[in-house]
Amino acid sequence: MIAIFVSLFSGFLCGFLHLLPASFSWYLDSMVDGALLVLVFGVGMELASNDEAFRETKRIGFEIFLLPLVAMRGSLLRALGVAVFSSLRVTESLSVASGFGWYSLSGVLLARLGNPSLGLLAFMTNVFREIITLFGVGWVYRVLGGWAAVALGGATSMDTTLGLLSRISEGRLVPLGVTSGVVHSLFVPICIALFSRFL
Amino acid sequence: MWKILLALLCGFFVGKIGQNSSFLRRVGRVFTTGGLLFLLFAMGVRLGMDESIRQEFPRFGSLALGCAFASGVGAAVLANVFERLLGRRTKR
Repeated sequence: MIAIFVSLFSGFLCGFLHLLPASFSWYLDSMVDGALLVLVFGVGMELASNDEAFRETKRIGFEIFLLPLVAMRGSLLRALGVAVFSSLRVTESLSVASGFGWYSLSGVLLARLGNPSLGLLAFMTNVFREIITLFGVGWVYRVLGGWAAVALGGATSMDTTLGLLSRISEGRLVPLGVTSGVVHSLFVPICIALFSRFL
Repeated sequence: MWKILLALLCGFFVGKIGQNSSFLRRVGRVFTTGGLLFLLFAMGVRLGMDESIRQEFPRFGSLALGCAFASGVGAAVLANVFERLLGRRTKR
């Protein structure tokens, strides 16, 4: 937990104070892609020595595909609630929540299909969702269980939060996390395109 | 997305080949932890460098936090209800 906070905060400080050489920011995207592949490769290696994960997947069965659909429904229902208590219109709130944690895509898509302000709000919302997941996934796993922990991460459960899911569940949640992340990711552009038509 | 799935698959096969090797298990752990920490660092750098986010934060910050919290909680709670309904509480 402390390492997560230190990494995020020190990165923010380095970016804010321009402490890094310019070449670092030029290659940032490539380095992020590389780090993501290294992380997922490592999760794959850990998964290979964990038979419990496969027993768990077998036990869950076909319903493994229902979890992300239920989680997306939960996100969108709560987004409706946000629209009631904020200045956002229902379609704006649903469009923003449709990022399901995938901040880069949702921000860009909404800036293009909706308006730049909404794109920025989507970006910030989904960045926050990822940060909330990183700090809260352990607690949610203990209190609400594995499915809730996977659902909390949304689309990030197949990449950034996969390592944490693997760690807290000793690998058992990895297949569920990957499946949920893939289904969420497939639905992000579809939902955003759908809701942004009514903006 | 296919790159991520391919990396997972490759890692899985490498892990299977050296299933009994404690060294490879340690390497897997280092990759996972190192990758995650670097991704977070890079995310922090991006956020710190982005002028528009810093400027609009007072306007959008609380709204974005509210939306993020609501959508995350909504997903987690409904998933928990669904898990209970199916009677398949994930072993902890």
